[in-house]
This record gives sequence, structure tokens and C-alpha cells, in this order.
Amino acid sequence: MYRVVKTAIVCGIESVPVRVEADVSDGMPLFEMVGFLSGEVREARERVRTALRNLGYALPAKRITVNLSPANVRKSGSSFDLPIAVAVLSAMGILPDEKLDGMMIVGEVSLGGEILPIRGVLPIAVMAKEQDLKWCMVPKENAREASLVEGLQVIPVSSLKDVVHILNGGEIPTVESAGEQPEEPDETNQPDFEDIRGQHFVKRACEVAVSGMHNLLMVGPPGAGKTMVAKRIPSILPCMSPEEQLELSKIYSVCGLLREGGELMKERPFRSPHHTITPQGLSGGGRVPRPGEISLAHKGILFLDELTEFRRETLEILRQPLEEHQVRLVRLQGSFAFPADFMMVCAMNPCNCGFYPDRSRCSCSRSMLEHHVKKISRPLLDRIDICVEAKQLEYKDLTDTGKKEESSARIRERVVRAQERQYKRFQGTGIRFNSRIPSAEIDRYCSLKLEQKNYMEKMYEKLGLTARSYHKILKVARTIADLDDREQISMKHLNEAVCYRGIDQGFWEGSL
Amino acid sequence: MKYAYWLAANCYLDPVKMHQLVQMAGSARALYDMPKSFYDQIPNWSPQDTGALLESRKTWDLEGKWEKLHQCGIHMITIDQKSYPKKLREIAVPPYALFYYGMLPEENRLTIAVVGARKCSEYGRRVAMELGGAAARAGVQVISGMALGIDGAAHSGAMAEQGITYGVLGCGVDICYPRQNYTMYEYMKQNGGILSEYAPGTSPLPLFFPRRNRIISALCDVVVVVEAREKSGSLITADFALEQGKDIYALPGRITDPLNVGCNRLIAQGAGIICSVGDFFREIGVHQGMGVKKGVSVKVPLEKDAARVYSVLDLQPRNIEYLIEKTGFEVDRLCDILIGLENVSMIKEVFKNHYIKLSDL
Repeated sequence: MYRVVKTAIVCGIESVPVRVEADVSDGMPLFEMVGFLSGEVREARERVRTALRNLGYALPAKRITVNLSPANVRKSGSSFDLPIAVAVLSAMGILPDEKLDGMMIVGEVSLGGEILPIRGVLPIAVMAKEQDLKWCMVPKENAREASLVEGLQVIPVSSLKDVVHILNGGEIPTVESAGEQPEEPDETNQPDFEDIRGQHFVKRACEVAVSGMHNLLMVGPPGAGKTMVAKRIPSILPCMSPEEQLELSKIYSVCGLLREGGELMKERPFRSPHHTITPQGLSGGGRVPRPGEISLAHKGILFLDELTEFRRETLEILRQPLEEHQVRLVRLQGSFAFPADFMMVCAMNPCNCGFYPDRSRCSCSRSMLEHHVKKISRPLLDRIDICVEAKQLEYKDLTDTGKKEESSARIRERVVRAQERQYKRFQGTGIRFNSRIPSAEIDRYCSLKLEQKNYMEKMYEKLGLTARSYHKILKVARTIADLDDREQISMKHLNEAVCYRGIDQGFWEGSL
Repeated sequence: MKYAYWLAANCYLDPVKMHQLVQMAGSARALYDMPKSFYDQIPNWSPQDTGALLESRKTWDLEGKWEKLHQCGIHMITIDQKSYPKKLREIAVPPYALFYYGMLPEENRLTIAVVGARKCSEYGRRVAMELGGAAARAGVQVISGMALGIDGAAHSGAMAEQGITYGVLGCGVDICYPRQNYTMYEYMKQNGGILSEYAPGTSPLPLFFPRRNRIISALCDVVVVVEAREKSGSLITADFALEQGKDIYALPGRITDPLNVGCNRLIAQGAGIICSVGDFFREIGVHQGMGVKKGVSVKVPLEKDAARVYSVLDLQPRNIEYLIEKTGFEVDRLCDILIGLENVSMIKEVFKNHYIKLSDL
């Protein structure tokens, strides 16, 4: 008998449908599996065979052939055990096949017949919905994750026995609801900007950076609170839309990082990889590529602390994703695109000891300083719009609890308003934020009056700007104007943007 | 002279011994032809030096090197010649030969040396530039070591006022070390000189620098130490100056700042104190010609807020955050004021978001 079961494989963060065909017919007793299988899928044969026997179904002395199609996609992962078992049982005539047509089945099977959880259920469930399937049979542990997709009936199973029972017309167990479902992100536990005393300049820079999704670099001595500030940036990012939440959750699902109990990622991610990270760790990689840190930071913050300590080739990886907001990896099996639309926040010390320009504490020589700055590549610096210096905290900053600092919620209100202005302005252009304005369109969106034009011409000469840094100042000024709720960029906005302009080699050289 | 050039190129030899050798042999030319036995009869003479000298004779291309020296426009003068600087001849260990671009310092003109730390503060740099500039306006020659930091600042101060300034190097004069100072190096070739006791092509080695300091102190009349750590090359210069009987002035500073320890100690030991640039020049006998700096804008009256920001700034670099705390302005307002002040050259951003006042000293 010949039977087909539908399953899927995760490719990148998208899912590709796969058909499991099983045929039980006369011939030499044999259990054969074909269809471009990787090692772990080939091992499924032993697991399925043993699990079925332990369940009480002896495989008949017949020729059993299993084919996974399409045959040109490499099958890897452990999610094929269950569909293979179901296909074989069905081909043996033990299971009826009327339901199989509208059902997606994934899961790993243990020798004892238990169904074990797998990674990447969410994209598979999303695909099942797109394919207009009615049911999706998943391991019990993954059930809640799969049920995030609306309009799809999820069948949680914990053992092969359940599977047989259900397919034979047994009652379909319901998915346990995720406790108190609308679990709002606990505001009190979130790090909040009101915890930071002083540092108004850096805070303001964060506000501007977030409003226009400009990449941010903080320079400052150790202990200036750069990390503290960075950790609080997600708290002023606007909340994610449901589509964004689903997209992000898919990435986390593929990595097996979706929280136990399965709920959508509601908070924006904050990823802070250690500086020893490899290029593959950052961009994603592996023989079967998995998302890296930049994809895990999708729609959120990628924080690179101690920027100068990162290996050069690791940082170079960032160049393309920062432009295209996705990373494309090409492997033997094909090319994979992972979304990587993040805001980059970096922190570094001004010199090796970290105290420059306080010469009473810093005794770094000029060549040491130059060496320090040269560690970051020019192209990466070019992609950073805002650069600020953080000041060392003083004792009174830590103890002066009298003054109330502004809370993240209030800053977020302003950010949301600024982003709404941008949304209206760029409607239908494919641009979303000021930082994404292509240079050809700058004149259109960041138009200056004659007075400001003359002024910027003077500044261009005076500060030794380049075309690129000039454009960056204009884009940041545009965002500041948006925060100010003005359509026209004024002198004040330009001046503030000039204060945020990026570091260049000249900064160190000029002062040495 | 080509023989003297050969001798002077042996930079490891003690200059005093070089001179002694020439006197014993009669001339550098005679010395060149001397056999090994000649060296054996010299008291306190090490056989290694003999070997090195005899060896160098083989590799040294007398004619070619001399020709090259001329082609490069490098002058050479030895202690035997009349035109050798008198001030230099008087010191304990005068260099046997001097190589130079441009000219030698004028003997009868007042000369000051401005020396100090390479890793200096912004404040020190400003003072050194001001000293160099004021000296240039008054027609005083400025000598220094062309190093990064204070030395370079003094040169560039003089350069900005088109003054005469000399750099004494610790390497061959054809090598611009450090290369960052290339503009002042080229300027000094035309307006002053680049001097060294080391033959062209000698690379900068650490042991040469303390030795060149004695030339700096010898050629000047007054040594000014602007910023010096406890153990620093500038203090070596001051020691030489003391030995040579020159006047020493030092810039006082905060006692907690390691950069000021050297200077404050000099003052404690009796060095002159620089209370202001004007006072200093009056004290060393320069009364006129210092005039007003060229190209200085007339002070514009500041509006109230700008004046408040300006009053908080000083010569130490101040972070924007500090200014926010002190003035209480919002970030956007403060940035506006700061850039405005910078545009009228009242303040300067010396480092990312660090500002100093550009006031007269």
C-alpha cells in the first residue's frame, strides 16, 4: 500500500513543505529510505523501527520504501521521525488515511515511542496555515508555540500511542492555554532610564538615535555607564506590531530559543554578544545555517561592547547586513536569507587605559591611541550616524537621589511621535526611518533654507566634513527636527546634529 | 671635511674622544690614515672602539658620502672651525660636529628653549604655543626638540607667527622624526634650522635623545619647562641648563597632577615661575615687540546664555555632560550655544564632546 504524509523542513527561517511517501509491498524484506537525507534523518529508520516494535507493531516481512520528496532539498533535523512512523503505519493499513491529507505532522520519536520536541515549529505552523491545512500535529511541548498561528488546529501528542488513538478517530486533546495569557511585559522589572542619574547628553543621544533608528557609538572611560545606558535602549523603543512579533518569534523558534510555554516575543530583543564571537556566530552560519546574533537582534538592539576588542573580520561581516537589513548566506544546500533589521549600539574606550583626554590619568602615547582607533574599520564607522562621549560618573551622581530622572515611558512617547511623523512622510516610498534615506533623496527630505545652506557650507569647510559625514549630519538633524515636531530643519537642529557627528581620525590626531 | 664627516658618522663614539683623537692625530685626515698601533697608545681607549673605527674606514665611501651630503643641502660644521657656535663650545661635552639644514641660531639674539612632556595636557599645549608665538612676535628665537606634545606646540606657535625656530633632533637631520611634525620640519628648514650632532641617516634611538637635550639647553639663553612628569627628558634638559648656567623657568601646576610634578619641583629648587606669558618675557628682558597676536578677532559681547556656558569652561577639556550639570541647559540648547561659540573661535572642541576656552594667557 502506498501512503503520503505531509511534513515540513525549516530552511533559514522559512519552512518548505516535504511529502513523506511510504510504500509497503511484496519483495525482499527491507526498510529503505531515499530522498537526499542527511545522517540524522537516515537514523530515523532505526528509531521508527524500534519504536513501532515497542508499541506492539511488528514490521511485516515486506519491502518498505520511504521517500521524502522533493528529492532535491536536503532533509536534515529530527522532525521526520513522526511523519515517517505515521506514513509506515498507514501504509501497513493500521491507520486510516482520511485525515492525513489535511494534516501537517512533525516530531521526533524515541525508542520507547515517546514524541520529543523539535526546533522551529512556529515557521512550520505558519507554512501549514498558508497551505490551507486543517490540522498540525506537533509534540506536546511545542503545541503552544504552534498554536500562536491562528486558524490552525493544533494536535499535541506525547506518544505514538496517542497518535494512533487520535488518527483512529479518538478525541483530539486541547492545547493547554498559556496560563494568564495576556502577560504584559513586567514594567517594573524592565531596566528604565530613570535609574540613570546624570548622563543627560547620552540619554538625549539615545532618544535621537532610536527615533530615527540611527546607529550609535558611545565613547567613554570605563565605568561611565555605557552598558547601563545601552541596556535601557529597548525600553524606549516603540512596541512591536503583531507582524513584527511573529517574524521575530520565527527566528527564535528556529534557534530553539522561544520561551518555554511558547508565547510570542513581545519585547524587543537586546543582544550583547561577547567580543570573542566568531563571524559565523554574529552573522549566522553552520552547514545548515542558523540565525546568528544579528538576526536574533532583529527589530531590536545589537549592542557591541568594547568595540575595539572585536576581531576585525567579525566586524566586517556587519557591513552588508547594516545596509540591506538582512543577511544572505550561501551554502551547498542553497542560499538562506535571515532578516537582520536592527539598530546597532556600540561602546568603546577612548584609548587603551580608557581615560583619555584626562592626561593626569592617561599616559597612552600617540601611537597607542592611533593603534586603538585603527582597530575599528572605516566602513563600519561610516555606518554609525551618532557618536557621543560619555562622562565618568562622579560620586554625587550615584548618591544624589533627590532629583527625579525622566522615565523611559515618557521618552518613548516622544520617540513614537517622531516615528509617526517619519511614517507619514515616507508613506509609499519603502523608506521607514530617517537613517534609511538614500543619499539621492537627501535633498528632498532634508531640505535646508538658504540661510542654513550657507551655514552648513561654512561648517563643511571648518569641520573638514566629507560628503558622507555631511549627509549623516543632515539625516540626524532631520530626526531631531521630527522630535521637535517641526517639518523645517532649523539652525538649532543642525547644531545639535553637529555635536553628535561621528568620530574621525582627526579627532585623535587634532588633539595630540 | 670629508674625513671629519667619516669620523662624525661614528655616532657611538664619545664626542669628547672624537675631538681628542683629532687633536692627537693632527687632523681628521691624518687620523683616517692612522694604523692600529696609534690607537693602542691612547689612554682609556677601548679596543672595541678601535675595531669599529678601523672597520668603518673600509665601508665608508669618502667621496660619495661627501657628495651626497652636499646634494641634500645639509651643512656640516666641526668644533675645529671658527663658526662653530660659541655657546656650544663652552659646555662640558660639546658635539664634535653639527649637521644642519637652514642655519645655526644667531649668537647675539635672545634665544629661548621651550621643552616639556610629549603626552601633555591641552592646557600645556596652549601655553607652549602661546610662548612660541609671543617669542616669535618679539623676534626671539625658539629652540626645541621637535617632539610631539609641548616641543611641537612651541614650534608651531612660532610657526604661526612666522618666527624663527630651531629643532634639535635625536637622529639624522634628513629624518623627520616624528613624522607627524613634517610641516614644522619643512618650515624650520626655511625659517630657522634643523640641527643634529648625528650624521644624516642615523635612525632615532632612545639613547640619543637625552644627549641631544644638552645641545638644546646650550644653544639657548633661557629654558622654559612647560609640563614634565617626575622622571622626564625635560628635566634632563633642565639639569644640563643648570650645569651650563642658563636661566630656567617652569610653568606651575596643580600639585596632584603628575604632569606638573617635575615643574613644581624645579620651582621649589629655585627655577623662575611663569605667572603669565607677558611677565615672563618682561623678566627675561623683552619689553617690546610682543604686540598683539595677528588675526585675532575682536571680542564680541556674548548673549546671556552663551556667557554662562563660556564662564563654566576653562583650559581643561570639559565634557558636555559636565556643562549640562553646571549650566542646567537642555542638551539641544547647549549644543546650539557650543557650536555658536566655536564658530566665533571663543572655544574649541579638542576631543569628541570635550571643549576648552580659547582665552588669552
